[in-house]
Amino acid sequence: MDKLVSTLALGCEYRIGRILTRENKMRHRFIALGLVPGATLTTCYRLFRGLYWVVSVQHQYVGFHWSELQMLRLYEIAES
Amino acid sequence: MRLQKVKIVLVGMPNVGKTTFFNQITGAHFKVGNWSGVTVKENSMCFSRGEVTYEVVDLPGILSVYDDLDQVDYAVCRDTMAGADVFLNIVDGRHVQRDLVLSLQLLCYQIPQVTIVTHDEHMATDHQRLASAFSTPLGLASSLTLDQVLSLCNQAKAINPESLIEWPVGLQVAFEAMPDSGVLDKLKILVKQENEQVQESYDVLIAEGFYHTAALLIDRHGCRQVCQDPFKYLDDYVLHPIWGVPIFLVVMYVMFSCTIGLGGALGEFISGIMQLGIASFPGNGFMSALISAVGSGVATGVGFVPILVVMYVILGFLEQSGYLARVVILVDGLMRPIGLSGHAFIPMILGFGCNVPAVLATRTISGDWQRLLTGIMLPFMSCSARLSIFAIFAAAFFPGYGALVIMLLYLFGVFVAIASAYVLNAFFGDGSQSCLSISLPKYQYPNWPQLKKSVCLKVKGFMKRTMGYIVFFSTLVAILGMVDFSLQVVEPQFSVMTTTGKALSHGFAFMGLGPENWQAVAALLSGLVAKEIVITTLNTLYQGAEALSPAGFDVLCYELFNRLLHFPLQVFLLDSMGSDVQQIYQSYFSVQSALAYMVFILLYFPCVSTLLVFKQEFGTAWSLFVFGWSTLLAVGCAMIVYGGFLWILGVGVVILWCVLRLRRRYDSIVC
Amino acid sequence: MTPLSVRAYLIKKGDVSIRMLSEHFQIDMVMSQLLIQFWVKKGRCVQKVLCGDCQVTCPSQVYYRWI
Repeated sequence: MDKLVSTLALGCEYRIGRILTRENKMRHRFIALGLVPGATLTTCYRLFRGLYWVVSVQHQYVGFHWSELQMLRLYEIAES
Repeated sequence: MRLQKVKIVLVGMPNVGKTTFFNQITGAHFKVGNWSGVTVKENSMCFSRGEVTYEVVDLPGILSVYDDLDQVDYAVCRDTMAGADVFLNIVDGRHVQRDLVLSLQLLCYQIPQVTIVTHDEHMATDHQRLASAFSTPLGLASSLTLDQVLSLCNQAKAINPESLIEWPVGLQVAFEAMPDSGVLDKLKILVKQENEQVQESYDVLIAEGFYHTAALLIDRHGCRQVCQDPFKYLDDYVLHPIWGVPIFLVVMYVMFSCTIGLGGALGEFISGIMQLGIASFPGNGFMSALISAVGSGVATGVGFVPILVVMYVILGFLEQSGYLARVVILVDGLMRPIGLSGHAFIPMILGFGCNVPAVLATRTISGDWQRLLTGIMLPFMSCSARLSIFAIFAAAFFPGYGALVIMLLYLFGVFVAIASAYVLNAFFGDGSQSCLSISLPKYQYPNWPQLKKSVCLKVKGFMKRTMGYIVFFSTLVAILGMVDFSLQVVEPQFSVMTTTGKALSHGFAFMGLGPENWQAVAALLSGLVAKEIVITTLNTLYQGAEALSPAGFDVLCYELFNRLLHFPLQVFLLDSMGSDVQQIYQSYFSVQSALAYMVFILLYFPCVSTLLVFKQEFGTAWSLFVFGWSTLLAVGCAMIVYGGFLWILGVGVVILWCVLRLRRRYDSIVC
Repeated sequence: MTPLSVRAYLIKKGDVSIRMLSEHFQIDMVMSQLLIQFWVKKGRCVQKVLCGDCQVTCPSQVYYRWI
């Protein structure tokens, strides 16, 4: 069972559970960037003490502010 | 089989490099380009080897051989392809699977085929595996000569498509029901027929057959390409927690150093040569003055072209390479406190070149308020036109510290922009925060033809928009300096310009411009049309008092080479003004009034072009607001700089602080 | 990654971008574009742009929908 996470670690892989924001604009933006429920993301770069994150989603890099990543419910992928 | 004449036809998808390869093996010089549709008609060349004459034909790119839907070039290709003896199937090494689909379709002609792989340096698959997947002799374009190509053509054999292509069941049945003819003829008939037997139409089934077979062959021979990013390691430096920001600062420094040093030196050289030509016109009087005025206006405008070219090339390079997208993350932290995201930084960088494209670039920002706020900040970004004014004043009044003063002015402009955004956001802001989430493209080499095209378009646009104004205004200023209100030619001290400038100059006493320096006031007014004109107007008006002698050709060449040799450090060594020009400026301005004048020019109303674009983007009301707001700030800041009215600043800050506290309190009560 | 499999994916997913298609089928974006264009030309699928105010259409904001 995958574990729900509240803090991110660098170089780890996470599964997107759901998009938490109800704001349509943000939801569309997430979908367009490939951040859809079920997709996996890997944290690649951490800038300014974790204020900004660059994650790899479906083999492409996406840059985020920490507050935007909090709009995603993330699960740590359990090793089988 | 020995043929007397062998027709070799180059076939492939658009933009795979057919004409480049054709030029390579034949030595021709047909136009090539890095985009689709460069070749629109067939090109051919003949060669003899012994008894055989080979005709090599280059065709426009095609997408499929049986379906002529939306293919303008198909009619050109169809007859040539039917008469070919050998196909040279040109395949892009980066998109092998896509091109294999067309290769399978070419088999239907039952003509011998040779596969040539272009862009083979990007090919992720082994040469042998690829040859087996394509079932034809295969060569790599980079290392082939004409004779090697001819030798490959001699090895080629026609293949029966039925033995290779796996058709869907519905299509197989339809084939069997048709009279015995070639596969291609059957496909051409079926593609236009409706399929009543099964749900899918025949064209879908045909496409399905080709794509399915291509996928099978790719998997069977292990040719699946995994997308790789050869520059991925760059992100380790560019997005490094410590080195990211210094790298960004270095890149910005290089950009400005090149723009000011390289572009500025070339601009001054060209402008100087033109001035030299104008000065060689003989005679005195009205016509001579008119020619001189028009000529100096043109020279000023042309002098900007190298600066703009250098700036647009560097910005385009950074944008296409993928670096600017990374910059957005790095600077987001700076913009977030004023309610903007890092996206707003790109228009601001563009604003340093010209405010007009910068205002247009705000369209990429999401959120109406964020977009407007960015637009309001842009006129405070010192554009390259203002840079030329600063360069002249800085060299005249701050010898040795010119570059430092200019840099401080730039920073002051940014500070005023951020401060005004902060204030406006506090008053009118809707409290929403712009979102950052940005896709970071893979690093890539810039597409030079595209870059060249975009730079040419931007420079042409600038010339079209501004050059007319510059010439018109400098001529108008010259005429107004010669005639009085009854349009009679009079002495300069009774001219329209002198009278108006003197009348207005009383109002500019707050920054040290009195009736004795009315020319500076008149120049400020002309800056409403375009900021480039300020310096032209000043020169034209000052020239009336003391004639300027243009530098000789040898001096111009010396200055050009001197500046080009030192251009990486040019920002710190700015001292390129002729001493006679410096003296004229020094006789009209004190150091304090010159500084106040520079600050006023940095902040006062934007040029007409910017205002018009602003009106188009945000409406008349906001463009009038920007006009008033920037002029108000310019007056205030010039007063502070000239008079040292620190108490004005103090009172202003206290009032602002009180208002902001009240707003916060109001917000907390409402919530 | 044949036209029919792309059709099935489009129907299942609703809005699909070229990048999503490439990732799903493990093919390059040029190939995905070609397959999508096959259905667009036939009028079975439409292109939609997410943000209408962009002057330049950014590829990540373009997606396709089966009609």
